[in-house]
Amino acid sequence: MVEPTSKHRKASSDGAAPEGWLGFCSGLLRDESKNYLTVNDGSAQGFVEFVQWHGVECLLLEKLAFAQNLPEDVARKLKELAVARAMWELRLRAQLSVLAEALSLAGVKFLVFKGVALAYSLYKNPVWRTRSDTDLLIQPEDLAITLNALKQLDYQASANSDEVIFYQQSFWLNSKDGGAQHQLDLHWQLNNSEVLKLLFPLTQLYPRAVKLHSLSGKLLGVTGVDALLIACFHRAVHHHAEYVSGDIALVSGDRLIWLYDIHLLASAFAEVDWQDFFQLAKQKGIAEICRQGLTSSQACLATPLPHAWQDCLISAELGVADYYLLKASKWGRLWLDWRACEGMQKKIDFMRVVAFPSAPYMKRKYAGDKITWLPWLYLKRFLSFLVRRKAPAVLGG
Amino acid sequence: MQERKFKISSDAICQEIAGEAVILDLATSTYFGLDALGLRIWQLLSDGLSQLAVEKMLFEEYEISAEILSRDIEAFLARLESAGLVHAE
Repeated sequence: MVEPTSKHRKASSDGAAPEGWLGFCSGLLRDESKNYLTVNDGSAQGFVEFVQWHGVECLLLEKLAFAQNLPEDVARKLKELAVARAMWELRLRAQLSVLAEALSLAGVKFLVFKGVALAYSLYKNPVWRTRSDTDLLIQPEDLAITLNALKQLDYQASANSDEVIFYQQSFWLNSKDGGAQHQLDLHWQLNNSEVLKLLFPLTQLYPRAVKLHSLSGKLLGVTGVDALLIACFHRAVHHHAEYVSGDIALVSGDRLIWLYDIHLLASAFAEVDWQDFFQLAKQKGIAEICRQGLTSSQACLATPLPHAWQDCLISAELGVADYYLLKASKWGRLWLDWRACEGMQKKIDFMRVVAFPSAPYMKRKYAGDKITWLPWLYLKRFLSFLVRRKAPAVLGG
Repeated sequence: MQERKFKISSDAICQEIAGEAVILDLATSTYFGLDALGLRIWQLLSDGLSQLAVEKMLFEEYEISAEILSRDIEAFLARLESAGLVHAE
């Protein structure tokens, strides 16, 4: 289904077929699985890692309450992971309440999206929606005041400032509260790409945003329609960008938890939501991206979709974002981004950041490598651009 | 049986998982674990039920002698109180 990158090992260490594991997990998520999964001692850990990469360890545990069909050691490990998740969630909830209060007091317009917004709006239990960070979107003009508020709360920047300013995204860590690390992914554009960065501006999302009462009265999340557009878009982004869980890195948009997001969002839609969704998908040029996202979700999780839904997403020609994420090659995407940079200085900065990212970034990116000599890492990065990566198979697509 | 009421500490936040629960006391940064029965008692206290009402409710839900149930609830509440997670009203 997905292609592991070279520096990480495969989830299956003894030949057990990940496809079988995938079928078992998706069956459980559909509440359909009656079969017993045989995981011998050698592959139990591999199965747990596989489930963790797909982000469904807590969901599976919940489903297992109704289907006792996992080996005891695997079920025990899943429970340990779920309890750890619950502990992390409690810290996060407290920290986010403080952060939301501070940003509100500072007069910042902000909202959360992706994992945390879905966890507290879509899932019965926020712990079931596993995630590694919190995505926060602000207006570019509120950046300075937001950074100041984060520093006041003892958040520390974890990325080089050049990358931060160029990519309009910054990573912040807060670990003061009992050692539980909270990674905040601060965006002032929803996507790093020069071509895609204006697809979901805060000015469009904010007026439609909804309060996440179960988290904090001060926190807003995107609407269900916007969340589904973003979920389908995010899935397409990860056809090119790897997702790392533990020591497993895979390039695929078809993580089960992301498909389950799509499934739950679509399942909750009324007719009026679908009309809004189809219209916005076409307006934003992501109709094909959305069509593929829904197709995968339906194939994997039997997502209920409205009559003739595919016809509503067919456009005469691909939108820019559809082309960028679904058709363009790696070099094509670079070219499109370079062309979208406004002004010569921005184009030069873009080339510099792409060809020679900062040393801290390179050290992080190749942290597992034996040779960490910087010129070698830059050469390795350049060579990796020349290698054509096999496109991952799309679940049921 | 006692008619005492308990108020959950504003510093105690609870997260349910797999039929059990984890509680974080923000005042002391300490975690506590609750099993299924402990979680049920916590939920009933959160709903504002008195100790007596909790005992009545659980007696209907579980097959257990009233005496043992009362003793266990008393001990459990004492532990919650000594940990600062609840306060007698």
